[in-house]
Amino acid sequence: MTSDYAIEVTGLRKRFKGFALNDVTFNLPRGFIGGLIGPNGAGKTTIIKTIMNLVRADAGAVRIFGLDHRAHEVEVKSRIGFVYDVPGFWGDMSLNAHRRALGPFYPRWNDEVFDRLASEFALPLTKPFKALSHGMQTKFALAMALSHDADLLIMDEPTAGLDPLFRRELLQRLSALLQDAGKSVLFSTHITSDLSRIADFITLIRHGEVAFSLPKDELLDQWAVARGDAAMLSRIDPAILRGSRRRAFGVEALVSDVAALRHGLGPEVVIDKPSLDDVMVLMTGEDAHAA
Amino acid sequence: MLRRLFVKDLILNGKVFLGLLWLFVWVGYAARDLNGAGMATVIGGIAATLVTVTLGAREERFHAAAVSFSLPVTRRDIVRHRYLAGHLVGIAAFLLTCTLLAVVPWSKPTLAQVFDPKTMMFALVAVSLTIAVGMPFVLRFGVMGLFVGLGSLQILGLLTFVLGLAVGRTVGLRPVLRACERIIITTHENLGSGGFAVELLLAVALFTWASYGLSVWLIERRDL
Repeated sequence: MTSDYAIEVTGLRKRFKGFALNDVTFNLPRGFIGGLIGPNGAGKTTIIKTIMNLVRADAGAVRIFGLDHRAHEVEVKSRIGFVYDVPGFWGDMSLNAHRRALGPFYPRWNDEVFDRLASEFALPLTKPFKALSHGMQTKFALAMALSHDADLLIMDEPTAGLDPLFRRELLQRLSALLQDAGKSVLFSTHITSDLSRIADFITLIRHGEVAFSLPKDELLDQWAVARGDAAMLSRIDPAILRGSRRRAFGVEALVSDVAALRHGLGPEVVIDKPSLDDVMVLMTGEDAHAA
Repeated sequence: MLRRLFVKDLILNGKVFLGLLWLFVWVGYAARDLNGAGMATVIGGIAATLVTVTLGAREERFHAAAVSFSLPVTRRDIVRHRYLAGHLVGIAAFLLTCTLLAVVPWSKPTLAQVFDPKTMMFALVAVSLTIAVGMPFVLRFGVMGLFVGLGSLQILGLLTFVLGLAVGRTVGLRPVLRACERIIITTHENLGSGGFAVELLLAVALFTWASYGLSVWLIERRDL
């Protein structure tokens, strides 16, 4: 069964004590990089864990390359490279032991690729996992995920704890992966500048729900941030107002249709292209007022 | 797939299995004074089985369960592997203990005592029951749960004892222990009869199968 989508998440629900995912729906087409953004506790990790069948959904469906992720668990997971938010391996065992133990599970595991990546990342293969810094642990998790020719990489906060140089290198590597047709990447982060560089699709998670899921270019071209006095808010069409917050100088508003915004407001209002940071803060910040 | 899981556990938990060597060193050392060869060999099998049953504890300690569960294997495969590995390791440890007792020059038990078919069958039953009881418990409550469960039994025993003293009627543990001992001895002796052995093995197999089903049910509902 073939599908144009690497990931299709439909109507996902999961209830925990004090937190719930509600009707989470989004897609990632094959060959693209998708970013899950949202504040801490929004539900990004739970969504990723549900996709990986580490968390069992109460309702909804997850399809990977058109296949149900539970009915075809072995086939689906052999095509996924997964990097965890907190890399957890057997702390007292060496990196080499992990490679020998875990590599054979993947039909396309490639020792040469692993050795090359280990060398590039300066991984001490004979050292136990727990002796590594958090950054090195993440690098090891990345090396494992990238060594079996995965069609889909799923990474939960992969850049957290990495130094800026390696973060940039990782992002370049992810972009390069896409040159090989069909590879797809989904990663969650709260460092939105990472996504600005490489993501094709952005999905914002807020309080366990999808606030939006859009192509990044559409988001940055059609959305806008307006800055003006408090009266400005009342002149913005509520249908396009996605969030706002009070600032010392007045009010900031996020709108989803820059053309409509320009039409309705006077020259005293400053209109800027939004950054992903603006989008996240204005739609999820504590003082944000979504329409 | 099961072979890969077995190799994975062997590589990543090799140190734990190496720890079992102390058991064999002790058996080798104590062979000169051992009267109950059967007891030593069966305990060897049970100890090794318990180690295998609690391998999940190492995953929990290192937060590595997510790695195991994100591998291209089903959760059912993981449980099946744990049951098979538990039996294999337990029986291997039992046989190794038997061999030790047979080859150590100063060993007191005779070969006939060591390689007693009834004891071998009893070891198989003990290993299976250890897995069948322990695995669902560990999967549901973790190894801490196992310790808490054992601790709770201790406290219950203490409370019963204190209560007995308070009401002036001691509740003796000895009859219970004697009953257990009788059950073990009678079972061991009756294993010489073909019919009983088959019935017991069938009952244990059924119990293990039910335990396996429960473990799969538990693990498929577990969130990591």
